[in-house]
Amino acid sequence: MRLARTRTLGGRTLDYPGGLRSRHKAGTTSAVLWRWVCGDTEVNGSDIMHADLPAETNNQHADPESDAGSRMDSAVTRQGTRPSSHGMLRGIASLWFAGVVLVLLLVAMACATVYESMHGTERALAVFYRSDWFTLLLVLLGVSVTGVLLLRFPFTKRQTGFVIVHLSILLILAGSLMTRIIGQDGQVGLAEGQSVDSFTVPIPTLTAALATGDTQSKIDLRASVFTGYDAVDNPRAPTLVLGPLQVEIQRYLPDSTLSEHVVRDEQHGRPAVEASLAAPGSRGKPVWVFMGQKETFGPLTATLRSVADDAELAGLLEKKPSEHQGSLGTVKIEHEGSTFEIPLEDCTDEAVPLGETGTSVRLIRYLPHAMVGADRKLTSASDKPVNPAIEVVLTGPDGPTVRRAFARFPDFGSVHGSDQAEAFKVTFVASSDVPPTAPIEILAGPGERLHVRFQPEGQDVVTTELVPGEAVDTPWPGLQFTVLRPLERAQMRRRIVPVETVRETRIPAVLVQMSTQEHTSEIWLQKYRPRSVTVDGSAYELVFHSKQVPLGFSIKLNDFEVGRYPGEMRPRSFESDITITDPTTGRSQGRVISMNRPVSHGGYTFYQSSFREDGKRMISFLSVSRDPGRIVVFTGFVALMFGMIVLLITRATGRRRAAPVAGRHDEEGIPRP
Amino acid sequence: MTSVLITLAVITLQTSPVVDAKLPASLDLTTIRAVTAQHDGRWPPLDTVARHTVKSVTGDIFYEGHDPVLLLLAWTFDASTWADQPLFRIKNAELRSELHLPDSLTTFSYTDLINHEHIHSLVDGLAHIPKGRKMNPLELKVADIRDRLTLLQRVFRGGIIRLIPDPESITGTWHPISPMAAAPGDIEPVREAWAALAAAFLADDQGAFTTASQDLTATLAALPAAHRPDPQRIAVELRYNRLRMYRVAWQIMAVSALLAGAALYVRRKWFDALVLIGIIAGFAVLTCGLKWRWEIAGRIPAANMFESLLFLSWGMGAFAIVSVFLVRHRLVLLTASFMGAVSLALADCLPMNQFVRPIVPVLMDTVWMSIHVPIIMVSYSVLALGVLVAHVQLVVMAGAPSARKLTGTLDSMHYWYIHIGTILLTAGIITGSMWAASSWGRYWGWDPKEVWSLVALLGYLTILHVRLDHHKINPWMYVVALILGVALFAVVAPKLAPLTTGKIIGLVGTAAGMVLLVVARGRFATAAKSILCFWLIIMTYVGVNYVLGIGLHSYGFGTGAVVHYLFLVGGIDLALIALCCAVYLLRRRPPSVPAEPAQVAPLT
Repeated sequence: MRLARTRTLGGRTLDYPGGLRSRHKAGTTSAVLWRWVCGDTEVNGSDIMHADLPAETNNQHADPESDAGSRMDSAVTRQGTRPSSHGMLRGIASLWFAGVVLVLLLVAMACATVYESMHGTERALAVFYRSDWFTLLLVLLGVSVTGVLLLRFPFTKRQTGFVIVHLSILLILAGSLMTRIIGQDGQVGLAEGQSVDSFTVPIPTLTAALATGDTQSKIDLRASVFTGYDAVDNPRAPTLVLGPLQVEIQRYLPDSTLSEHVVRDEQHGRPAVEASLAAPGSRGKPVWVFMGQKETFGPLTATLRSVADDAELAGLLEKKPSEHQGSLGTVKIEHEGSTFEIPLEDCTDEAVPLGETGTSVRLIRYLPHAMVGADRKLTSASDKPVNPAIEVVLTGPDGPTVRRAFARFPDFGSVHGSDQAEAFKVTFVASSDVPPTAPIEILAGPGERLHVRFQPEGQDVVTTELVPGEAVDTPWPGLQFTVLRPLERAQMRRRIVPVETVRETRIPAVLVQMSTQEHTSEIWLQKYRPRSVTVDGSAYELVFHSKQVPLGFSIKLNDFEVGRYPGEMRPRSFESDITITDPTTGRSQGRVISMNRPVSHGGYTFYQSSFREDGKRMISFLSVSRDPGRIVVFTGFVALMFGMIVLLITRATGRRRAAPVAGRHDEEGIPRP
Repeated sequence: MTSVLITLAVITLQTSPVVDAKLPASLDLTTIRAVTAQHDGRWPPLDTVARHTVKSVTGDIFYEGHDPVLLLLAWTFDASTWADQPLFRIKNAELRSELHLPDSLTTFSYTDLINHEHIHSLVDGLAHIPKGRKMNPLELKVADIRDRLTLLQRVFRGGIIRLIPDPESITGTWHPISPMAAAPGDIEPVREAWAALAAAFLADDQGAFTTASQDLTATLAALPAAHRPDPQRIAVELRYNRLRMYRVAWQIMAVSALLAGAALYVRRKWFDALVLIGIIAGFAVLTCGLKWRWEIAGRIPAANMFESLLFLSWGMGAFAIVSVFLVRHRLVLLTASFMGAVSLALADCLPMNQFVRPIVPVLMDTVWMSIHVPIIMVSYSVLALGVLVAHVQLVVMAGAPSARKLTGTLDSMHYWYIHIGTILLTAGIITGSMWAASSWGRYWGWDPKEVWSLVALLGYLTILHVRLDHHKINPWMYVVALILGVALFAVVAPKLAPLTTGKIIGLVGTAAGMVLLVVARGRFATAAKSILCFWLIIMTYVGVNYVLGIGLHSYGFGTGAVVHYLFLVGGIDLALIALCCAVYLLRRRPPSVPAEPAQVAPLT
């Protein structure tokens, strides 16, 4: 809107455009301030109250000369009583300022979608929609709406619609605030036959537990920092205390990677060779094969075996196929880059030492059909290998620890272990799960001699002497095997390094400092990768992961089904058949969750979210939510719709009364049929 | 009058048939057309299968004016002849040269393409595209040609017409009639009837063909089936296919639009009534088409772009018929018939899949789709009518400043349209939010589509709020607004780094738009703002899928003809607004008074 021409009158009134000012002498400084803040004292409420009423609109519509340009001029010059200035507070409560806030929000959101198309949804949420400045914009909207309401109080009857609409917007804002603060929104992934009693929410958490599994301690971390996209030094997270142990977070990395390199280590090293398998003339990716550890070369696997003397070598070079063991499976233990594979039968009766780690492993029991009972004890439901699992005891310098491993769930269950700052990862490879491989066996020794045994499936064994750097032919067509570098004592070093440009699927990491009264050490934790540490003789397990919230009941996935269109592969429906068992009532009930058909229990609602095919098993992902804000928001929605309709009717009737459109355009209108 | 309409419709409907000696001419296809097959997740009549297949292979349902059923049967029974017929039209000379095809020809046969070495190698190359990378335009074209060739190959092998029902499962696959393929039950009689049909077809024997098709129907009906569609529904689908209701509807609407334009000059009540009858007729035909489609699909036809365009046009018709009695102005009918015809013609003529297709599970089994989509589409309709009025208003105010009365009428009409459109848009967003809550467990998830619908709503709300405030604005408020705006840009712009030229132009444009939205007030500015906001709607409707979807990858705006056209139309629109603004502002400035130094709002 243009400034009025009367502003050229001069003096202080320059700042106060409008005809009204010229009659008004600014007396004291306070009076000027008051006017500056609150606007003209002669501006009465009624004027603003009518700001959104159709009467005004109609006045101008009715004015035959009302061209927008001349309107204001004539309004100012002819109607000297028309107020012209709102003042700051009135300004903030003006409809015009509401428009400003709306435009700011609009632009912020439009830019956010552009950002999202560049960097992905998760990041857009963090940088835009959940950021502090965006929240501030929403608060500004709330302030504007409140101001618009307050300055029109008390309301007239004709303002009913206007009041309902604006109150409902405040209600929606309040409801969304409730959702954000007290609402819970998470996910649960269930394999068929699996049962859970908690769900994952996207709140980063640091958990420390005693390796014996008795006590644990958790702290929730600020999502804005610990899921953020910026590296933060000294993020000032609360200290985690577990007995004498204090854990403090020193650094946060938005993305990290594990860097591995092999070094000579005369003290703790083991024999290793670097080898590659590739087509002649090309260089394959070199892989380090450590003693007692299986490495993969594309479709093939290789092992390294040390040979003590010529007699053993001669025996191994005989061209007879290696015997297949009728084993139930093998215990696979990973430690500091080494992998130990021990057939179950070997460690059933007596403990088998794990190389030079000072730790040994012994099988306690084998469970072909493992199930966790209600008392949280593991039992076998049958003799069939439905869910093969083992329990082993690892005996190290710090005493024995019992570990469980499930063949079907290699990453399942808690990992407890103890050693100098490194975890033992125990997995169980059941025989039925071992894929048919054609292994390569590298024979080191005696002395510095190297040989290799190739055992292609269904063919004769081929043995060859190896010279470092020279390729040898293999029985597999088009592939040559090369040993690049043998090391008698080697050690794999792993370091966590930051990734500069954050990847789409990233692995955040935190550097934690563990301290007791005696000493202090530091360790990197990558998200979802538990690590075991020993401090002052006690073994702890630390993990940086997402918060697990107990449901208070358990759900079990009985079956997941993808419905298809007739005669097509296209999915038509996704259905999870679940059983909910509530310990408070002791009752179990079967329910079916499908798209658009959620199931509620105990305050939580479960929605079919997605699924994954993992071999033969189906894993169904359910969204879990508990949102007290939703009902508030929905009430706001209904009120908003109602208010808008009332507003429309008010305007329509007001407009008709003041200047009926139909009446005005009779000569141009068309008749009623 | 009606006869004139029908004649007009018939003239446009007819396509000049190209006589092809290889196709039998005397056959009666009525019976075979109605045979039920399993196709694309449904059980349509063979007529639909033929239309879908012929359209997919040749790009035209009535290829060279032939009946699709006739073509499908000819391809099935006489594959060797048709493999050499030029069925694939590749009009783009650039593409032909990229495919190493001779430039002198525009149509190619199956044999031509399947034996073409370069196309072969390009198709092989498609298999090596790394997962996650989007195909480039050439690859997309090659993939399209590959799909068409594979489809025709399936037709030649008899794999498309699946007539033998699955006896056990409702979702089981129906089998084609083929001597090789295994099929459940005793299908020998069916095979015999099919062979007789083929013989009669090739011999162009009318009597034998009719007998054989009746035999086929009878023997198929005797087979055990877990499910057979309702014959009533098959009849509806045949009628739906035959009548092409949408084409008829937009043609009626287009004629009504012409009449409505004439009505502005004729100014006779009977003529206005005629226009109204025309619109109601077009609306009724469209409604009937929608109703049939609903019956055929077994769900509300509101699941894809094509169906939403139908609702867009339907909403315009519905809104016009209601509001003409309230507002009583000739422009209501003119805008509604014009926009209705345009959107329906777009749906009919743009290369969109018009067939009833399977939909994704989230759209299934929910009442929300029937609530949300129609509401949002009707709101778009009303806002589209509003934007048309806004254009007229802009041109009138710039070109004929003396027409104050007309301007006033246009302004109040425009205000009504955007007011009602905004309420409907709010209702649409609310119902969408409730649907999201019931499907995904959250009522708002900052999905780009959700965000853009809100962006458009905020745009319209801004127009309404700024327009309603007739008070003079404290200059300090401009300062506050400026500070907030600059702060926002200071926060947002660095996040959008790297700032390419395109992005800088976008940001500057956004800033200009912000200034226009809040600073400029008055009728002329409101009309300009309304046009701007309708572009936000277009962005929500198509832009989110195309512009942003493409922005996600490194191919820029190269792919997607839609984006090209959008930018073209947007540019023309922007030029029009700019021209009108220039004319309007130049005219407004009185030559005697010197330019005012502190003019805050140039567009008032």
